[in-house]
Amino acid sequence: MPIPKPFRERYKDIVDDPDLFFECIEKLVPKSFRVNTIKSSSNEVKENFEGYGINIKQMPWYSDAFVSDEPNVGSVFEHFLGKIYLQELVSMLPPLVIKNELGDYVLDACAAPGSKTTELAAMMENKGTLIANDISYSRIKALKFNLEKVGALNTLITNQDLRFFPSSLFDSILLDAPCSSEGTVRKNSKLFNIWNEKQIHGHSNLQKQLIVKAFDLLKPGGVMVYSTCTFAPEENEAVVDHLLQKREAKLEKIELPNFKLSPGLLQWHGREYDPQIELVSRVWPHHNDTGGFFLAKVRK
Amino acid sequence: MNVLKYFAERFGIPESLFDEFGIYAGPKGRVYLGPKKLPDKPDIVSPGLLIARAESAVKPTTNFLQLFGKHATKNIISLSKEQAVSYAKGEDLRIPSENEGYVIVEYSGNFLGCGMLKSGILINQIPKAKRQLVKYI
Repeated sequence: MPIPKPFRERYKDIVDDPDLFFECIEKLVPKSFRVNTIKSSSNEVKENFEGYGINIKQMPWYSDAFVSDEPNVGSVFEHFLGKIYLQELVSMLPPLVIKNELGDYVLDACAAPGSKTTELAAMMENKGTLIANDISYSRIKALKFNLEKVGALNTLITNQDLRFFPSSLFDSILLDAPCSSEGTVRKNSKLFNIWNEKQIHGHSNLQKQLIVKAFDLLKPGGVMVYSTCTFAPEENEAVVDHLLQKREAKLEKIELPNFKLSPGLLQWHGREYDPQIELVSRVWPHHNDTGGFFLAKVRK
Repeated sequence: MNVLKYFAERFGIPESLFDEFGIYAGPKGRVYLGPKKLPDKPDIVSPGLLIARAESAVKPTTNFLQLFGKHATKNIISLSKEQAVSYAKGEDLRIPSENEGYVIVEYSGNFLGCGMLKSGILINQIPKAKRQLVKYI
C-alpha cells in the first residue's frame, strides 16, 4: 500500500526532509532487541552472539540496546531463556529517559503487552513496586507472559480503566498512550490500509483524559513520561498542551546523548500551543533509522 | 505446603534468598513471589512472579527455575547441547537416572526450566507458549 496522499500532505511541511522521511517509512525497521539485565548482561550477550557468528550492533545511546543482522534473532538460546527481549528501538525510549528518577513506586499506566514494563522492572533492579495496568483483560495474558518470562518480581498487574484508577501517589508514571500508531508503519506495512484522519481525533480525546488523570496520580515532585508511536500533533503536542492548560505541570527537556531528537511543534492547523511545548521530543524515523515516536517529560 | 521450604529441601535453594519478598496465594494453588507489601488498591490480578502450583504436590514453574536455578545444589539434570535444543522445543528425553520427581534442567550454566523425571524419562514441563526452535546455542 503506497503512502496515502492525505498522510503526505499532513506531514510534508513539519518534517525537516520530507523526501528522506517518506522514503524511510517504506523500508522495514531493523531487527532490534534489549538485553534483560534481570537475567543477563550486555557483555554476556555480545560474547554469545559473537560465538554464533551473528553480527549485532550496540546502540551508542543505550548499552542494553542492539540491532541484529540475523532477521530471525528470536531463534537464539538467549531468547528462550528470557535473557533478551525483542523490542523496537523507539519503544525502549520512555523508560530510558526517566531511568535515574523512577523511585520506588512506579506506574506503567497502559502496560500491555509489556515491552516497556519489562524494561522498567529491569531498571528498578527488580526492587520497589511497579504497577502494570491495562484496561484490556484479554491483553493482560500477554503482559503476564512477558513479565514472567523476564523474571519480574516487583511487578503487580492491575486491570483498570485508568480514568477510574483509585487515588494513589506514584514517584513516576509512564503513560504510553493508545494511539494511531503511524510510527509503527516500518514494521506493519498494512497500517496505511486502515489509516484515516478521523481515528486521530478519537485517540486525541481519550489521550487528553488519560494525561490529566495520570498527572493527578503523581506525587508532588514526581515525573511522568507521556509517549505515543505516532506523528499526529493532535495526539502529541495538543495532548500535552491540554495538560498544561488544565494543571500546573512543568515540561522538562529530554537529554539523550547520541540519539537525535527534534523539538515539538508550537502550532498545528492554526492552533497555537504553550511555549513550553518546544521541550517535548519528536523522533523522526530517518534521523536514527527507527520507528516514529513522541516523548514528553512532565514534572509535577 | 510451604513452597520455600520445599524449594530448600528439594533443590537446596536457600529460603533466605526470599527474605525481601512476599509470598502470595492465588486461585488453584498458585503461589506468587512479589514485593513485600501490596498496595490496598486497586485489585491486583497478578502479584509478582508465579513460582509454583501447590495442590496435592508442589510443581515449580519454569520461569521460577530459570531465575533461581543458579542457587540450586541438587536435583539438577545437565543436558548436552543437542538435548538442550530438543528440550527447548518441547520434547521428552531419555535420561538414565534412578531419580524421580521434579528437577531443574540445565545446559552449560543456563537454566532451561522445570522437568519431571519418571522411569528414566525426562518429561517436558516447558509451557507450550515458551517452547522454541533454538537455532543458535
